Order: sequence, then C-alpha cells, then structure tokens
Amino acid sequence: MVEPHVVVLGHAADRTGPPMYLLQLLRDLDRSGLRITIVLLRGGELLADLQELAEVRVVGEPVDSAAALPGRLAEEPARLRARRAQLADLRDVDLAIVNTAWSIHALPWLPVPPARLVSVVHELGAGVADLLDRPALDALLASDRFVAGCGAVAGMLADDLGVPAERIDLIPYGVAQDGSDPVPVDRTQLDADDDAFLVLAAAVPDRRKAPDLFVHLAATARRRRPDVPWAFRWIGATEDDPRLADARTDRALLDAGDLVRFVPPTPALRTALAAGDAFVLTSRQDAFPLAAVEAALAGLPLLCFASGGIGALVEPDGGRLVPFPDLESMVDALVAWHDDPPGRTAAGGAARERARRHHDAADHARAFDRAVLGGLRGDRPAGAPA
Amino acid sequence: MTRRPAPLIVTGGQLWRTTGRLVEQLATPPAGAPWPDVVVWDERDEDGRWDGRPGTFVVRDRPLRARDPRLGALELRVHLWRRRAAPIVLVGRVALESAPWLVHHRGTRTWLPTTDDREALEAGLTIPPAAAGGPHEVLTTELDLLRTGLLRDEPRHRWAPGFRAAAPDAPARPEVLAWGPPDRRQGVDLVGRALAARQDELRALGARVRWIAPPGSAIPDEEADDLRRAGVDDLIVVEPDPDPEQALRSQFEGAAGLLVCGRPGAWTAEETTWWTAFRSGAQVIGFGPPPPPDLDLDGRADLAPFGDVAAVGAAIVAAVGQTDRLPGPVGLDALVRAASQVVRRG
Repeated sequence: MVEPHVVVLGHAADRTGPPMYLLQLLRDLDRSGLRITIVLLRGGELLADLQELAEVRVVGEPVDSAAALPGRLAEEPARLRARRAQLADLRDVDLAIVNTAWSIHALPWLPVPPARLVSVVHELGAGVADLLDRPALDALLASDRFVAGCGAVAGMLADDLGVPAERIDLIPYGVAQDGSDPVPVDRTQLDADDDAFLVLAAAVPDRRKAPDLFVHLAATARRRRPDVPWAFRWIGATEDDPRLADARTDRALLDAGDLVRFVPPTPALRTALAAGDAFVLTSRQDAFPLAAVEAALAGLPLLCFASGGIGALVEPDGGRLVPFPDLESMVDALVAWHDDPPGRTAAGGAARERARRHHDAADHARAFDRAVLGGLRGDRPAGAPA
Repeated sequence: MTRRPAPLIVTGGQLWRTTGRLVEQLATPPAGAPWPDVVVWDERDEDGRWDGRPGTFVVRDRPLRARDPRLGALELRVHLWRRRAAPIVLVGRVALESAPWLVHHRGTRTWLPTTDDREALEAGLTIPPAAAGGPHEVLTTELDLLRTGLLRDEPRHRWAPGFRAAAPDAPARPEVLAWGPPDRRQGVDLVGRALAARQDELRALGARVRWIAPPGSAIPDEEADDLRRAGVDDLIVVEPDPDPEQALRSQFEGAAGLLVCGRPGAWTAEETTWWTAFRSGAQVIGFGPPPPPDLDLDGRADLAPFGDVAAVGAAIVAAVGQTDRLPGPVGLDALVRAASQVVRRG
C-alpha cells in the first residue's frame, strides 16, 4: 500500500491563529497511514514544531503585482520556476488542504492538480473576497469541500460566496485542553501591577485586529472611570512593530503610554491570559480568534464587537458583544466587571464552561478526520495512479 | 410715538467684490420690508448694480449735475436734508467722501470698511471725524481686515464678527462640515465613530456630514470599510472642491457645525474656521485648540479631549438641533440699532 498523500497549503508558520490551528490539528489528528507534506508561503517560529509532524517546504509569497516594485516583478518568473521546481515531485497528491484562503496561491504551483481539494476557511469577507483576486477566489471556490470553524464563516461562504451548504462542514474550532485551570503568570511579565484592573488582548497587531481601537478603548475607560487602576495589555506585538504606527500615534495623543502596553507573543498564552481580569477583542472583523477560546479557558469574561464570529462563545452570559465601533458600551462592560467581581467571575466561568464543552481541539480533530480524511486511508491501492 | 427713520446706505458706484456683496445684502430687504434708501457716491456704476432699484439716489446719474454741479449738489443736499435724522451706514472707502455733506446730519453714522479698502487704509486713508460728517463708529466684520491691524489706533473702531448683512440660506438638511482629505490624519475615523455613537438621532434629524475634499482625494478603502461596518457611510458625503479654504467661506453658510477632528498635521485653517463658524452661527466641534482670545469668539465651540468621540457625537446632535444659531445682529436694521446704542454709550 502506498500511503495516501495529503498536502497542506498554509500561508505561514508564525504564532498566529491559522498556523497555530494547523499545528494543533496535526498534533491531534491520527496521522498514521498518511503521508503529509506542508507547503508554506513563508516560515515562522512554529516551523520546527510543524517539521516534527510533517515534511515542510517553504516556497515564498506570491508577488503582489499591484504593489511590487518593477525589480521584484521582473524577478517573479524566476521565483515561480523555483517554486515549481521545489514542488515538482508532488505529483501524487490525493488531497490538498488549503489552510486560510490566501494559501490558495500555492495551488497552481503543484505539478498536477490534487485529486481532491478541501479548503479550511478561517476568515470572513475581509480575508476572502476582499483579499483574493478573481482567479484566486475562483480557485478557492472550486474546492470540493469547505471546513468552517464557526457559523459566521459558514454563513459567509454560503450567503456571500454562494457555496452550496452541502459542501460546507461546520466543525467548531478547538484548542488543546487538559481540564485543568491555568496557573497565572506573574503580572510583572505583562508589565502590570497586582492591583491593576488588567484588560488583555491577544492578537497580531494588524489593522484588522485594531490595536488603534484598543488604545482608544483604554483612554475611554480612563476618562469614564479615572478612579480605576486600569492596565491594558496587548499580547502579540513588540512596541516597535511597524503595524502599530497608528496605535502609537494615538496613544501619544491620548497620553496613554502607561495605560497601554504591547508585549511580545508568548507560547504560554493561556497562563498569561489567566493573569488578567477581562479579555477584549477590538477586531474590526474576526471570524473566530482562538485567543478568545484561550481567554475563556483562562476564566476571563469576553468582550468583543458583534461584527465577528465569536458571538456563540460569548453569549449568553460569557461576556458582552457590542456593536462596532461602540467603545463606550465596551467600557460599560469593563466598568461593570470591575465593580462587580462576582459577576465578572461568573461571566468568565460561563465562557470557560462553554469553551470546554464545545471547543476542544481533540473533538475538532476527530470531526475533521471524519469529514475530510474519512475513507482516504486504505481507499487507494498501492500502485494505483494518482 | 415717534417713528424710527429708515436707514440710509451710502456707498460707491464701482465696487469690488467684497464691498459689492456686502452692500447688496444690506440694501436688499427681507421679504415684505421696505427698500432702504441708497445714495451711490459718484464713480461709475459699470456693473449696473443700481439700475432700476427703488429708493436709489445715484449722484452721477443726476443729469442736471453734469450741466450745473450746483443744481446737482442742491438736489443732493435736499435729499440728505429730508433724511437728516436717518441712521446712515457708509460702506467702503468711497462712502467716506460724503462726509462734508453730512456735517449737519443728526443720526448715527457707521462706516463698514472691507478688505477692498485695505490698500487705501495702508496708504493712510483719513477717516473724517464725526464732527466733520465722518462716522461715529467704524465697524469691522471681516477677520482678514481685522488681522491687518490697520484700524488698531482708531478709537471709533469696533470688531463685530457676529454681524451678518443677511441670514444665510439654510441647507435642505442639517449639515455639519468637515474639510481636507477625508483620511485618518484628518480624523475621518473619529468622525465616523462619533456619528456611529449617535446615528439614530442624526438620522431622525436628517443630518449629515458634508466633507469638502480636495479633488482626487477620497475616503481610503479601509476607512470606508469601517464606516460601512459602523453603518454610517450614508451619513458622510464627500464633495470635491478645488479650494477647500475658500469653500469654508462660501459653503459654510447655514452649516450647523464645523468639525475639527484631525490629528497633528491635519489641515485646519484655524482662524478662518473660527471666524467663519462664528459668523455663520456654526458650532466648532472636535478636538482642536480653543479660539485665539483676541478674536473674542466665545461660546461657539464644543471641544472635547482628543478621542472623546462620544462628546463629539453629542455636540453634533446639539448643533444640528439648534434652531437659532446666528450669534450677532443680522441685517441693516439690526446693525443701525446696535450702532445707535454704541454711539449713545460712547
């Protein structure tokens, strides 16, 4: 028997949601009887972890023809040849899994089309139809099946992109769980005092995640309740990150340098989150950030805009959803949690119980196996053509 | 009860743009009101501005004057004698030449210089004393003229930024204006969040933000996405204008408010904003600095700490909900009433 060959197309190996999802999925999946190759557009700090689980090839990002300098454009044909050469032996792909819509760019670089294509879509409109050009979007929509980790993405695929519902598998996201409560890190690691009311976010600091609104939220909270020893910390960015330019500008204008700090990403996210009092997500649009699940498992109440897909985890009772971009209502929730510690604890507890019940990575992997890999093992006799 | 004499406007025949507009507004009565008398002092009326206007005595038009100036002078003297108790508003430099004819005039006389008179003032224009038929009061209503300081030493001078010759036409729907490139530096994100905070009330009031933008500028895609996501993209209308600063002057008429929500480096036109806002009755709303104290413009601003979009949203609602916004006297009658009080006090 020749092992069925599964190629996973991913955009990166950095410590952000989709790569961490992939790492966790591969850890939890039963990989026996499968040959798995990961093709990444770029590397990152999770590369070594992924290499422990599968062969990994990093081939480089496609050129942005609208924004690239002429020199970069001129180099693209050679880069394309190099990418294809790097993947030339992948001729026997039984299944290609696209992890994030952007990764579809790697599909044409395979020497022959895969026998079957499954796309795991983590984004809402901003990461799919708004981001992909027409050929890439068409290639994505040609997938045999789609996996959505939350109802918002499933709805977007069906309602906005016209994907038939029977081609969509809704498999709730999960993160690794062992049933225990995390031990909080010392708050000094988050540059916060013990008596502070510590509001945490955890995300890459790009515009969609809205660190600028996080800064404004902090300033609004301080303006409304100057008596509260607020501390707002964003986990996942260093202070000098260029993506924080807008946030830094406004932080200076708001004189909020002590109030808001950015701290680097951490592999022990849940224990870091456990040191906080509340979790906030100021994303302009976010399908289902796994950091929110981590925060729920850390026992924090969740506070998000209703423009994302996290609502099913938050409500009822696990926190608050507010209309975008209503920071005043966010502050209402934070003030209420500050003034009512038992209420805050209860909300955090409700979120934790929901996360434990519905968002276990092992459950997700089992469902994924059934929906995506089911029947693949043993279906292909040795020597059969790809 | 004594009937108040009708005011008399004295001005030149050939008027530049600013003075001409001011005179036309002063000389055009509100609907149903009588036409004020106008004496057009010599010079050629190339624009035909006064042709057929009732109650107008154009000095050069008196045919007898051409043949015998004394008869023309006599006719003018009679004309003025009949109006000897009327308050007189002298508009522009040329009107001051009427002073010798007004020595025996018993009413109040107010001179309104405009920026068109700047050159003459710089050249040392003499403002005749009141005893010699000159004005009792010199009233500046233009910021640009005030800023020259040319009338600084004139004891009869008064800065009257709130005076308007005519009420502005109200726009079809309540408007708050913003200007400059509609981008983040200019604060489009903050304006959007302010609108979002009070969008139900603003829609009920039929209000909107009109954003006067330089040609070629548009709301960046990512900011437009935010406005759509917040459900307020319909509340901001961007209108390209080749000269936003001039637009402040010509398009602010009737606006309920002016938004100054920019970040450092934003296009502000600070003084023009303040003066135009005050004069048009608009509130200045946003995060800008307070008005320069020497402009004496108070009570026309709702300024919040940077980023307080809730306060900005509330200020927008309050501004568009105002029914009577003009801060000073409007029209000729209000002007002469105010002038007579000043002269009496003086």
